[in-house]
Amino acid sequence: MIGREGVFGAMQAIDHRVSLNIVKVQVQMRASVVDANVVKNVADESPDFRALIVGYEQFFPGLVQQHTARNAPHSIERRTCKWLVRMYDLAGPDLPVTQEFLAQMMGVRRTSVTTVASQLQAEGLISYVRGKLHIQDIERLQSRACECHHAVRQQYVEIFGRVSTTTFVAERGLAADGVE
Amino acid sequence: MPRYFFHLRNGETIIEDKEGSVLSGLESARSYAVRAARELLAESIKYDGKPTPAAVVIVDHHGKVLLLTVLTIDMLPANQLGRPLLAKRTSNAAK
Repeated sequence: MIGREGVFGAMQAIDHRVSLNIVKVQVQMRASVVDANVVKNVADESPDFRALIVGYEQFFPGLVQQHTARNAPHSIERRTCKWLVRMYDLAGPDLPVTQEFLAQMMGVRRTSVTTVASQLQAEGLISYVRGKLHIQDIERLQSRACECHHAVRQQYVEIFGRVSTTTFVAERGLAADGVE
Repeated sequence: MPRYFFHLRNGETIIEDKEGSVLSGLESARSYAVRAARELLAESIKYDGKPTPAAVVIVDHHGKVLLLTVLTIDMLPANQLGRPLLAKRTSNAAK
């Protein structure tokens, strides 16, 4: 999952230009679409820009590994909370996601997500009305999530030396530095 | 293709499935419910043992109940088992 802290296809633009993934837009947000030639030209001229792209290319597989490795030992509830925290970081508290989508992302059955979502809703952590999920209490949601989101945020800071998320800023008392 | 809804029932509590899933027919819906029930049970056994829904109720788009998949883990008192299982096993081992 990529949001306001990341980029898709930049490495392909400066490298061999073969993209093996199909990317789906899930949440309506502002994003920039940049021609591959432009990305390559800028990367050739600016080592800083190239370093950013390479850095994200290092961060992203780390994120995937973290999520994959911890899929089995963590309960569906903790994993659901983790994904919601991650989505909050990437897109804010209003998430137009279906339970089917959440289930697919976690590789579980929709009914399991239904059970968890109903529990979280009953406790006032989220509200959910037909494909529109609103995160009401991010702090309690974080405390219920598996520790993966901490690891992922930490990896981001290690690579980029800064954070792009409001929640992490509050936790660590770090200065916000949004990556646009 | 019809849309089926999989409500989860636990005693008087019903967790309503508001999204539903489009499936080819009742047979697919049945197997969907069984797989869903397996995962709910497995999750309950693997983790905190929170009460799992007692049944997956398959409902069509009119709200008509079509099928019920009941989730059970049974524990019977020894005197209801019908025959003395442990004693029999002991006698087998002695042979």
